Amino acid sequence: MYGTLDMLILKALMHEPRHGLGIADRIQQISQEVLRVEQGSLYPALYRLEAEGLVKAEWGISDKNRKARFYELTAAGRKRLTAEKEHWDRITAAVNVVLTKA
Amino acid sequence: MSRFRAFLFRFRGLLRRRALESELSDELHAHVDELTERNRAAGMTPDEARYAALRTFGGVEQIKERARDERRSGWGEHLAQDTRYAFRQLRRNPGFALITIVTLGLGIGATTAISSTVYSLMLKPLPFHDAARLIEIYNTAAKNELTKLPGSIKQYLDYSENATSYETLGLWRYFEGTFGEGSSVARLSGARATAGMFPLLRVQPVIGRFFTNDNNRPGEDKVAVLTQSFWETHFGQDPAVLEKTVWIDGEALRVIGVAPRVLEAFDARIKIIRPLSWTPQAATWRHALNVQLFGRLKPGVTLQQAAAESGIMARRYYDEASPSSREFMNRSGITDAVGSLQTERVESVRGGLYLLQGGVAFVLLIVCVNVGNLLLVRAQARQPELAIRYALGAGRKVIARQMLVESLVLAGLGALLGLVLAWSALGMFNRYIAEILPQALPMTLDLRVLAFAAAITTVVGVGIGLLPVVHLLRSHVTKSMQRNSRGASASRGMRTFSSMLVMGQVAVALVLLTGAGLLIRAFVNAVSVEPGFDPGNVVTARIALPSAHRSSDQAAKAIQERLILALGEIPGVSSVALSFSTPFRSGLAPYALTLAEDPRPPGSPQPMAGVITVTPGYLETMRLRLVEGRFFEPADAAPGRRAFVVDESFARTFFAGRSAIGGRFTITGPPGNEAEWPTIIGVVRDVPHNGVEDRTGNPFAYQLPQWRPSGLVLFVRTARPVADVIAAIREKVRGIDSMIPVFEASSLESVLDASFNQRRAVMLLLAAFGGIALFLAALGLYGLLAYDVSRRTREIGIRGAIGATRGQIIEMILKQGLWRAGVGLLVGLIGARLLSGTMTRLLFDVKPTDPMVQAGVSVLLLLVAALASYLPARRAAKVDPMVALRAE
Repeated sequence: MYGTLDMLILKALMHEPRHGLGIADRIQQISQEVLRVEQGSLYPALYRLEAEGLVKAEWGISDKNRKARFYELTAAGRKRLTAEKEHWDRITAAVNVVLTKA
Repeated sequence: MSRFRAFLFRFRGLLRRRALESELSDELHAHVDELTERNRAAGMTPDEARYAALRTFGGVEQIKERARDERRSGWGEHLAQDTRYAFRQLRRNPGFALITIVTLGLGIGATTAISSTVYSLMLKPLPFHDAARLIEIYNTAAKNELTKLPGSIKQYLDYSENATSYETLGLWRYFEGTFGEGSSVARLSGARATAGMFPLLRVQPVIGRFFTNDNNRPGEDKVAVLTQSFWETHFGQDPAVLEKTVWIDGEALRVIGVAPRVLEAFDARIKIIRPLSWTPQAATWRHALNVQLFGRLKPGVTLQQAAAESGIMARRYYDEASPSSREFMNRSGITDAVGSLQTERVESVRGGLYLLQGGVAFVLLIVCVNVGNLLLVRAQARQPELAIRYALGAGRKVIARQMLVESLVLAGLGALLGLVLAWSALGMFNRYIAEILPQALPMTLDLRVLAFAAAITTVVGVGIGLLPVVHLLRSHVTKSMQRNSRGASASRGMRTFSSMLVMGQVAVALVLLTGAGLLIRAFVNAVSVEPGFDPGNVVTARIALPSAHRSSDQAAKAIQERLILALGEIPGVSSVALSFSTPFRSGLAPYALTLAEDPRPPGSPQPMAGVITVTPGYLETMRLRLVEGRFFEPADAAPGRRAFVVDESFARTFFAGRSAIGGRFTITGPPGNEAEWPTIIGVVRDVPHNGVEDRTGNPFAYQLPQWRPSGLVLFVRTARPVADVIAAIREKVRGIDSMIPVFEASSLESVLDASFNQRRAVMLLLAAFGGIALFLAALGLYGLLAYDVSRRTREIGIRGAIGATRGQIIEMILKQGLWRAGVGLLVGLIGARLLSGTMTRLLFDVKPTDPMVQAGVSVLLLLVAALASYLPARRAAKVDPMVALRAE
């Protein structure tokens, strides 16, 4: 689903800045391995979010002592995440209603 | 805000392409490396670790490609790419590109040229402070069908004293004079004005000062204000010009100031302004209409209020007027009128400009329709290609964007061509405008008109670009690919639309061609009017007479006699005449007559006639046709003998049926003793002194010189070459007095020919529009059928295979073209009736329904339609059944 990956990325960055692999790990973790994406496809999405100003990136050193680009939520990104979450909650609630009533 | 950031981000990407590319590469490889390391830590061999990492990551190059797209998918990158692509597409199909660009260029060029003209003349505010408050006050005489007559000095004085609508009033009278220095003379234009004209136009002197109302008295008027351009070109901008003396028509004038350049916008011709002066007697008759009256409205006063006040002023004058003046006003219906300066300036060309604006709107409409059609046809021809690109992964949005860019590139190139065309067209217009509206400044393509053209280009470009895009987005591309593989033709809806567009074009072309045809017939009629004289082998020239030749009646008579004698001595000259008025110029003010007996029913309009002052040689030199009586003889010039020769219109109007010979009338003010009125001694055929265009049937009367003229028109009949004769005339005149300038020398035939210039201009323009429209319609029809034939190759092949002859195939395609042309023709005939109804004024003895024009234009259109259809038909007939069938 378009936008799902974006949301997962924003969610993964909610508490701390991460580099690409870190984000992939975190997504795998929070989705309890249900959502499996090719890790590479994170990057187009990351660049899109960066272009939209939802995240910002800086070069840094990873815990494995490697040069890596770290992504961090901006204020706009945080706002978007909240909005997306509410939206998502509404939809899932609606789907739940439909499924349980039927 | 975030959109702006995204733009900046991508823009940066565009600039730092290489740096970002390596950054991207670094980041992805770091990720893969870290994954590999993690795998190795989990116990894999280096190769396995790397392989597994790459599998988890996905294809690095594909990811890079997609990431790149996200990073710099700004419009900048795409625009450059799409533009390159568009140019490549156009180069691949130069015929299509050329036709489209030329078509667009014609439309945009014509629109820009005409709109520049309309804007410059009618809409662009005059460059004077608060120019909307500038008003011209004039007179109309409805019963004599004279819609615009000048004002008078008496009227000005009346308004100055009593009108409350105006802040300032001013009088203005254009003149042409002789500017003399030492022994050389030149003609120049100037104006006589009252001091009020300067505050009225809100102009300040560049140097020196302007004159005041004290200069309005004769004797006080020997001062001059130069215009800035004259000061620059003739006096090298020398401030010492002040207090210098200049000579105008032999009068010494003291230069007191220089007027700013902005004054050229009021009248582009003038070089010098001097005070208008008048004697108390000259200001007594309110209907001595010989000067223009202008006013500046007080703030807050509307044109309607000013008009209402003028009505009251005219009424009050009527109530206080003498019975004879009142009689004149009753008969002529003369009354005051006001109009805004801008409107009144272009009053003579307004109708023509509206016609042109209409014509150009038609052309632009056809251009849009045609280009839209061409692009539509091309979009369909390219559907297989687009379908393949779509199948290979190009998004619909991408395809749509590329086609839009392609349309905009076409529109841009068309606009470029259009501007070049508009530029040259404006140059041509300026030549005609200089004659038709000489006070107007030359028109230029200014920024606002450029913006206008650009806006039109964009609207046209996006409009025509959208047609195929909408079509593409609506139709299912893959389906069309399948359909094409079966060789079926375009959708029914599209074909109906295209053929309706073509019918529309044929209709519009017919309307314009009918208009042009009617004007051509009208022109032929106007040119072949029997002029009532023989203009062949006559050379004419004008001279201005210095004041020495006007100091007394004797001096005036002497110079005329010397001129006739001297010109008669030129070898090969058979006769010579002098006249006070230039031939074939409209605007010859008619005189109010007092007739001894008026046979017309009571309440008829005020009798008016043009009066031409000539010498006895005029009959022979011009070869006037004498109908009755005799022409002047030298003896008629003896003191106390006054006589008129009248033309047939005069005799018909005022002597209904009876002989005019012996009839009496006067043109000079108070009637006095009727027995002393001049007698009519002869009747001649009508000569179109007001220009052949003048159909008012105004009667004319001829008289011998009665007063001291400031200039004369010379007529010389000779079979010798015009240039030789002109040189000889100059020499003879110089021999009499070197201070007499000779100007406007040419053959009488070319003077007559020049009087058709306005009609010729309108005719040529409409013919050009008609020609463009015909070209466009033919192109549209050709395009439609050619496309049709190429889509139906297989069907035509089958027809050939089962026995259709070449003739039958040609006939089939021809029929398709001709029925469309036929429908367009019928619609056009209705439209042509509507158009020609609006141009009756220009239709010189031609009925708007002239059958010859209608039939001729219809046949021409059908022939062109047949030719446009025949070319694709011939190609259809050449289809080889075997090749066509095997090709699919």
